[in-house]
Amino acid sequence: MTTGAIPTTLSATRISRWTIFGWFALLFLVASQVIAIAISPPDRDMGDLQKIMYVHVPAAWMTMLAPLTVLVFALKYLWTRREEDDLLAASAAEVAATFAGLTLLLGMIWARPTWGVWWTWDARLTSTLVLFLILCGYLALRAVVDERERRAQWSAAVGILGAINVPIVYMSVRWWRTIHQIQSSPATVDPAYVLGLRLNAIAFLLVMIYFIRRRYEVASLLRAAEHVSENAALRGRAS
Amino acid sequence: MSANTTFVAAAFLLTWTVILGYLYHLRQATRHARAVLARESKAGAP
Repeated sequence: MTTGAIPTTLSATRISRWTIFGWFALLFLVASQVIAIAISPPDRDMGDLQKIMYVHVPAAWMTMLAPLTVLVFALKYLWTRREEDDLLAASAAEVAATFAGLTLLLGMIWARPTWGVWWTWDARLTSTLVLFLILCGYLALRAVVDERERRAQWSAAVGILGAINVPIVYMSVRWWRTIHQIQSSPATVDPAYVLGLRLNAIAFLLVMIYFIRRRYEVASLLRAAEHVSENAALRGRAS
Repeated sequence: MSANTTFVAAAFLLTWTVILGYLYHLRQATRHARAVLARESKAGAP
């Protein structure tokens, strides 16, 4: 396993650039939500409840995109054995779990007034819950396995399993026509809501990228600390 | 405030709570990681 590229310090310029990116992402999200709420008329059937779409749908997209990021870095790790790829996959998995939890809760808030229940074992809801539980399993696995290489390999396998579930989540509304509506996208929603949905999707994407980068920074710092500690122990043993 | 508005407000409030809460968690985790690295570097210095 290569570990040489894990930084022991992070350059101030890079941190500053990412801080600016983070502020931009947050301000873009605020602006997107204000614009979406201001310009979208109440829906004919749902009234103002439609506005939940601007947070629920982008969160759901990130719930599917983040595990695909895990997949890319997990495969990259298995191919190259570079430790940075393992840390990036783990960072994306934590962010994916956060968005999956948010999506489920937002769905419950939307379901109560529209379907009359907080939860139902609909195919979309159930497959999203399964994805959330796989991601939680991924994080639990990393917390309990101490041996670094084994942890990276096992979590890569679980990450791939989670990503396999993503197409099932996406297609569940077409394969099993239960209560959840088909996928919301600019092609399926009323033109009055397209701009708001697009802006919020971009804003959520920027926030997700920022979250993954910041989480990776934390993981890199902790790994660097482990390297320093291991090197000190080796020096102590040698002398 | 209508019942619908309450659900909409709850959804946006939850979203911002999760986003800002996770940001706070990342900020604290970064501080902790920097402190650990500084401590280990100091302890491991030959």
